[in-house]
Amino acid sequence: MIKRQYLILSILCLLPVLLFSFYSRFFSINTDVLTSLNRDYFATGFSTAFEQYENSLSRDLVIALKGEGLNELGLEADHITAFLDSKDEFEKSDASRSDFKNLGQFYFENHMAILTPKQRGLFKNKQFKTLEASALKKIYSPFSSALSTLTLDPYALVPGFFENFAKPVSLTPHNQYFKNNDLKPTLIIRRKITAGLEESALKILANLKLKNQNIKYYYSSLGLYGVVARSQAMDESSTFSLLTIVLILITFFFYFKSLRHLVLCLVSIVFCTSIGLYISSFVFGEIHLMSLLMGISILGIMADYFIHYFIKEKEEVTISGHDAFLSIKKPLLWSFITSLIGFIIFALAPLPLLQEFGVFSISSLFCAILVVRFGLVSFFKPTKPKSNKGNQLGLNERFIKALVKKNIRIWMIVPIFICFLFLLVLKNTNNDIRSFSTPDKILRQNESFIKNSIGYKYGYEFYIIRASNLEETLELEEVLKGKLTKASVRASFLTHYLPSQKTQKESISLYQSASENMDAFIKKFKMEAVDKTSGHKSFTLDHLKGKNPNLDIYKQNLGKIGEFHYIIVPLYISQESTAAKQFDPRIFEDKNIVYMNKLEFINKDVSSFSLSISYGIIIFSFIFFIILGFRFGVINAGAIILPSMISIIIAISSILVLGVGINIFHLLGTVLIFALGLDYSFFYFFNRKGSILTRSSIELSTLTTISSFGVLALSSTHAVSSFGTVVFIGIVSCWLWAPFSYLGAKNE
Amino acid sequence: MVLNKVLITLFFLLTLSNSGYAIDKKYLSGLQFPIGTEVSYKQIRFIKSTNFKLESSGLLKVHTNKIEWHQINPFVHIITMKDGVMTSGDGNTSEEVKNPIATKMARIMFDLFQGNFLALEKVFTMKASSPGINLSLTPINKDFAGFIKGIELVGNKNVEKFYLEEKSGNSLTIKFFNFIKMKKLK
Repeated sequence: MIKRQYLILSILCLLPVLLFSFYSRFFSINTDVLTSLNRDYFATGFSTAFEQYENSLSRDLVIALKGEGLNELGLEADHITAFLDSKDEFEKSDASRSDFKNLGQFYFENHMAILTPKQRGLFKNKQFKTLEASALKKIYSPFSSALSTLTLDPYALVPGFFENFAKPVSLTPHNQYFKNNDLKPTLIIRRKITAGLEESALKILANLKLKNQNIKYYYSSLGLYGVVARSQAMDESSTFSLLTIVLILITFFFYFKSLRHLVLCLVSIVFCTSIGLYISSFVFGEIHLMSLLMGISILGIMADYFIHYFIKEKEEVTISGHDAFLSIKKPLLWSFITSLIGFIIFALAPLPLLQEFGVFSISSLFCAILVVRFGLVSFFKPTKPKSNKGNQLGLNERFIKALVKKNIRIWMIVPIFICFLFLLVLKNTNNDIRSFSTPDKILRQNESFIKNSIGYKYGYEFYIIRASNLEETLELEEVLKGKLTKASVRASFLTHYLPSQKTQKESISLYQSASENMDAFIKKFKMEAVDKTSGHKSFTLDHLKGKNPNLDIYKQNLGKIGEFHYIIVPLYISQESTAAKQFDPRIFEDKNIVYMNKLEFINKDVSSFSLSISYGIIIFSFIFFIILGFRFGVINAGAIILPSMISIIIAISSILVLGVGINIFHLLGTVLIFALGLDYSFFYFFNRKGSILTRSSIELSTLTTISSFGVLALSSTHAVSSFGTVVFIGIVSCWLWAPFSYLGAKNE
Repeated sequence: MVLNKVLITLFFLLTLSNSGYAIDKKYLSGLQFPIGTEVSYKQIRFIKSTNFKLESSGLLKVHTNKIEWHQINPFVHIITMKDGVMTSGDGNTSEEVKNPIATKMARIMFDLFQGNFLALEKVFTMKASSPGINLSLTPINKDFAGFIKGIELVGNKNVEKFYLEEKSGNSLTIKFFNFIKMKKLK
């Protein structure tokens, strides 16, 4: 017997260690909030392209330096650039700061064929303002500026005339790299963080030592949010897990006053948790941080099973571990079934983090049942029996008894419950995924400053274009550009910098036709002769990359994915013009141009799921009522279900009274309240004879469950705290109402 | 001749006032092209980003109640300012210029040529430096401070050069000559 105990204890202790050493290499923790809410989002070619685009941005780092003068900023930038170059955490820059200075003139210095659609129109219509007398008068007049006239004139682009004069694209050092924000110059340094070194990169960035103390610096990168979120969630999950386990152990210690119970409980919890983690990471290939955080709540439910068993050991009639298990078998299995149904709902949810949570919970609790059945029974040790019967009613029992005695119509709760849930369905829930997590304040402030500095306004709206090759995608983008420009919707277009070959050929032809008149023009207006140039030529993406390696727009060219070539067009967030507001982004009939609003897509998904949860609970309670009705009679079935219904009403009402908007995590919490409420009801219902020990076990398990969910309510992640708070309130209510399952039941 | 005297006086005062010091406006009242004079000019408009120079030439005529900017090359273009109204034409026909910036700009230049420094004081800070006549004007009015970096008048016995530099790096240089041929107009 002792040998068997050692064997089981060794398995319980060693298996988690072995599993951890085996799968720790493959165990990955996902920190991306958006993918945690919708994994299937990246199922199509368009969405794969979008994911690739997001990944290309994830390690981009921008450091903004703000000071009094560009010279001192330049010196500081050189110092920081040299410092970043010396660190492995940052990839070496392939463009120096000075490369940006003449970016706007690049196209003209290289005689590249680029004309804006407006300039092409002027060429086509032969609207050469410089050939018109009125324009010439302005150019030569000392009282007017030649600038405004010349920038509109396509002749200004003809080689040998106003060469390099106009900048047809909005690519200037000012709006890309320097910005006089609040009248102070700002210098932007761009880098890429080395993959896998984001955490140490963040530490370096947070402690950058500047030479000039008058300069302030701001850093931002999508990857850093992941680091902060991971560290915040890891801190929380380790602190909360520890706190939960300590609370459970303290409860155990004060009740059982035995080291044996403490050790067995701790070892069993660790064992079941690691099995649950292994199974869910095996099924999904990863575990999301929020799933881990929510998983802490399962520790309390697992502890419930162990408590019910340990308390049964104290029963007078119990002579072996097997006996103790048999006496709790029925309520244990019924409560497991109810929990199972609740967690299956989670596992079938469209949100990956809930699926992971569901699978983790089912596997952990199933493992806990097996541990009780095959593990704990082997460690059976009869304890000094306490009085098993008596009149010492708990507070909750006295409360219910008083209600029953006064003939209060508790059954009226059923229609109220149904009406309440329908009202909840009709009420608008706040399911904006941006409100589910709390981003780091410093990073958010930095991001805001940098976005303002470089005029970066992209949000969550995009067009994704596909075609068989780059050329065709560019041609499609030019069609899109025409329509968006007409609707006054601003966006970042690749063809702004790299027009299609078709458009380039048209521009070259226009240049050439204009050049033929140049000699006569120069002679007529007595202009100084300039060197003849070789004329314009078309160019490609490779040519552009070779000259200006650091442009953001390269990322918009996503390349070949499967059989198609993809490019992406990010739209600006602020579309303040009336035309832009009236513009419907879904008007394009072309199946190769797809509008994508990531937030809208996920939020819509989450909202529809939150509706189905409310319907689901109504249907679930109805079906469960019928099953229990057949098994235990209609009145008993009602008595078992009623505490859960009341608790859901109380929990959600409390949240509403607290003034917090209801979200999907509150609704999901109601599923757990329902399952745990039934769990307590079953234990009371099957203990109709009134064992004080059973009552104690329920109180003890309520305490452990409350402690685990109460801890979650402290989380700084809004989603996790919502879930923890609603379940915490619900469980307290379940404990209060659970005695109704036997006091309101029909005695057999 | 009157202009010469005025400029010599001004030179004297500026020399005394040392370089970089603000000048007493009472000494500037004489700096002007006297009424009834005509002076030749050659203008070079430099556009920095093109590295291109546009040359033109013509005459500046100061009448009793109007000033005329008469461009002859590369084409005839006559701009006149009379009673605050600016007109543009080719000698046969003319039309009013309604562009407020162009009108203001013309007004400033004519104020400079007429020595109306009291009006200029509202728009510019003025400084003089030696040797010779070297008057610098920095715009304080927001309409002009946005694009004009500064204006300089350079000369010795006569105003020989007007130089305007824009913030964009573009510039306008006007050289005045043939003062000897300057004649009284009817």
